[in-house]
Amino acid sequence: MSETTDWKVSGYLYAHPVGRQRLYGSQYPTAKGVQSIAEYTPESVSNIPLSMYEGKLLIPPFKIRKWGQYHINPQLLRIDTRSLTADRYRIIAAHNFQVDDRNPVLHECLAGIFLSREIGHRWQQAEDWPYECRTIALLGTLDSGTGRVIAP
Amino acid sequence: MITNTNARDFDVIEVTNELPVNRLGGVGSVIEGLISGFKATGTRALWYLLDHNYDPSEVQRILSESPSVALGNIEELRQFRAPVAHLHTYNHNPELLNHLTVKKIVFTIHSLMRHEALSNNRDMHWGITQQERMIAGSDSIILVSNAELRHYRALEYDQLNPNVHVIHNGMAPPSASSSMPSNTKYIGFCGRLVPRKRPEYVQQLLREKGFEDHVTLIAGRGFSDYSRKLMSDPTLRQRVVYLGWCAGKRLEAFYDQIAVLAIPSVYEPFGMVAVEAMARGTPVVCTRIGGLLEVLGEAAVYADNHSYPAFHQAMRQWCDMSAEELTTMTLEARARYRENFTDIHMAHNYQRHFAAS
Repeated sequence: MSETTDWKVSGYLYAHPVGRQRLYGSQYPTAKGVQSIAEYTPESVSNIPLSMYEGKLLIPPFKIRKWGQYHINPQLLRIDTRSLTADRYRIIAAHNFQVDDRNPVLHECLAGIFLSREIGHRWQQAEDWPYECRTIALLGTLDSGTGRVIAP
Repeated sequence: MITNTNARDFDVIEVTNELPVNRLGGVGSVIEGLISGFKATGTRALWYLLDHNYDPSEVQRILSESPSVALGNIEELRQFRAPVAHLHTYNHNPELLNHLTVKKIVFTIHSLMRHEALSNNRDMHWGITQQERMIAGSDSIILVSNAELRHYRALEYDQLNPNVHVIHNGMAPPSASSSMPSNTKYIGFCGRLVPRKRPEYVQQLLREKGFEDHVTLIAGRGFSDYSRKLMSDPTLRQRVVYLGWCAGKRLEAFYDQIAVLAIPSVYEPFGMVAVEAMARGTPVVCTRIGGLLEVLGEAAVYADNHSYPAFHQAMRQWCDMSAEELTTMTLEARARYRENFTDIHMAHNYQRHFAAS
């Protein structure tokens, strides 16, 4: 789960992180926050600095430019990996369709993090039920058993 | 149980699986209309969240933003009193019926599970069985359109419960739209991207002659398999814009941008998105199916059948309409909305039904 921090833009209050199963994210991007967030393209996402600290996978704020849109994770996400079954997980940035997006700037979208697991020789996809999101980019791989994070 | 009210006596206990926070589908939007409608008409309602999927941070948000909310289990419902319990639940748990200490139980069916299963080509037999048990155990059934009533009777559900009525959904008037003109090349699609809504049609359309410079904005959740395959076409990918699950100002911005809302569904019990478009004066192109026909009347462009060629033809018809024809159609649609589908209309209709119950 991520920390709850209030963000403001255009009079909107952005708060309340959301975590459903292995989909993690914050509620809203904000213009103020967005401006200060490092920008990436899908080709450069390996530069997003992922790390582990005390059993938590740390995902910094980012915005990924793809399909003419900015997919924004506005907050530092701290994902507690100790509750995960020991396995390898793909760390996927996904367009988060699971929360109401109230941002009136239509080319800005909410990004979330989906931890995909290989089941029966098939990696789960962010598009699968019940996540119903859209894959944006592979950020890395997590070995939850050893706590190692590997760049894509 | 968690609650933000000290009151225990209400006019009605509204039992639901979702509120208008991170909605799962159209029910959240209906609840939003009921909240504002009951507030305007002075109905004291408790909003009881049961079998929900909200996480703790969402629960905190609900408690801070929504009036008279309680979250608990079936047994804890007994702590509240009202003459009527009004059920919107779609996680059908017939055990609920045994724990309600009200005089009357009113069950609004937002969609008939048998038709959901047929139109989405999915096995939903467990949900169907549970919904049928809920129908049989309730005092009265509300359907959201006369089209649904015909389905209900065709399924011989009268034998389960003959006390059935129709109350249309409603919504509060939208906030004033922006002064930004809509883009005449933007086609809108809004809703859950389930097979019965045929979301792929608005993508396919962009390949057609006359639509080469159009863009589709999709305000919705999920991907049908076919939609995902279409997105592998790089030329389409640039012209199909997924906005996510839009609410509040983002939904307003979506409607401000689009020139037309396409609803190519094969099954719509009501068609809340049609009302959203009508209220904003956005033209609608849709299939001539029960719920939509009932909501829109003649204030829409209709496809003759569920097929893609028929939808394409209807979209061509919209393209060929003059500005005057479009204005006439949308003014008629707005008038229909104001006369029939506001949150106040819905609230009054439920009040009357509760009183008659």
